[in-house]
Amino acid sequence: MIERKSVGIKYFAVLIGFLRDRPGFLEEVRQGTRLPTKIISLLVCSSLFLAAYGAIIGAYHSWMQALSSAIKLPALYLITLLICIPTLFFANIIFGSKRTFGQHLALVLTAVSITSVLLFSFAPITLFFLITTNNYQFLILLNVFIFALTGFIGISSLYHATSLVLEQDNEGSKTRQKILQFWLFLYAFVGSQLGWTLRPFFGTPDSVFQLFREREGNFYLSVIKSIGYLLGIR
Amino acid sequence: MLKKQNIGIQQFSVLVNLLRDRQSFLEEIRQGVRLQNKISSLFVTSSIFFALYGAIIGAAHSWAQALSGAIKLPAFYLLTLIICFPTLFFFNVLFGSRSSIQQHFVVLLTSVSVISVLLFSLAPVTLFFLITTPDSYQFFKLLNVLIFGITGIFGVKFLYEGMQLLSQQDEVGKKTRTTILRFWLLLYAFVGMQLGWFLRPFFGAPDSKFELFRAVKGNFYLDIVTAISEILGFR
Repeated sequence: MIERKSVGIKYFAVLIGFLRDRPGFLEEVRQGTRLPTKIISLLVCSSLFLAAYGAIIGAYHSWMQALSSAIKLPALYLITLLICIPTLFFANIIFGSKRTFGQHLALVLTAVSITSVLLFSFAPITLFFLITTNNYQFLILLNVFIFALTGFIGISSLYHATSLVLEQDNEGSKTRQKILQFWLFLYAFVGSQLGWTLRPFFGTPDSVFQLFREREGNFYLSVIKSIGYLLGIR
Repeated sequence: MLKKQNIGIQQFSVLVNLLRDRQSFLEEIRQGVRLQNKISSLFVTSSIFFALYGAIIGAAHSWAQALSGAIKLPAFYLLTLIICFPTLFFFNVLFGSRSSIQQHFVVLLTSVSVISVLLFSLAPVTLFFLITTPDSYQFFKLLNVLIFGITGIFGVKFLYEGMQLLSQQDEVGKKTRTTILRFWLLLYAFVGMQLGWFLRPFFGAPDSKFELFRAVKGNFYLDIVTAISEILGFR
């Protein structure tokens, strides 16, 4: 039991160490010291934080929805990561990067961890508005704002971190910068579709609980469809 | 009995120290001297002061309202603080602050304590107007809006100073943290208004029956949007 607790503390300590001293942490990633520990700790911590936030936003509907959102929200962030990381890794390799797969993974995980910590820090506020407000639309808007803010900070820190870790003095560093920018678009592209597939996270009030909504296909096709409706094409 | 009184005096003395010598008090926070002690003292004393003031403004209505006001006013200030605290802490840590979670919490508590002391110092004034102008609910309300506004400004000023001192040692990202503090104050106001709305009534309108909470739930901001759209004739 004591050992277990100390393992938990160790995971958390890695995260706090990372938050407190990001340049030092990134330097360690660059040199590749104790990468497996770092990856596992960040993975565990960010899953826990995302699960906590997911449970809160699902709690608006029912406890079943809370449970399913607690699983879905970490899944959304981490599966998107898994789907997109090979692209980044191989594209960088082709253009002359010498970093290992572990280093790439740790680097991208730091961004997800930052997002998860910030989401977690907003959790009391979301919970408070959940309790005092019955308006579904207000909650949705508040959460869109929170997710956008935390996501933006996570992405911008990833951008800075990459220049510190992946930068080497050889040719192709400019190309790799471009690759990263395109990769961020790819990440958002895949993430939107996965988020669409995993719906509902909140659960519309007065609806029955459902694990997944009936698959309506594709996020982008749906957006095009609704734009078409608005313009009166169909 | 004697010991109990001693504890009471000790907790009060922490607050007096804070008021007397702010610089050295903040310096002690920065060095992390007896933080636990400070947290509990400030928590207790500010709750008591808020409770007294809450009781006075509730007394305009009835004794039941006074009792509920005495609980609601401390709850209002301290719950808002607790709800918003994690956001400030994690954002600050992310942008280079090395202060611990306790240090952050004490600095926030000091500013709330300052507000509570100022409110307490204005309590006789409020009580005087309560007794001498018994029928002017609107005047009483406006007076209190003024008092809460002024004390709030002082509290925010104090918070600013405390945060600057706390982040003196960490040069990295100091500017960002000041911006964060500003946005956090907006967030605090945002949450505070909603909580205040939720906890109503504090005063209790005259000629109304006592109620613990008002039936109108909902949301402060949505209510304002509704009001504006009604004025503009949208609905």
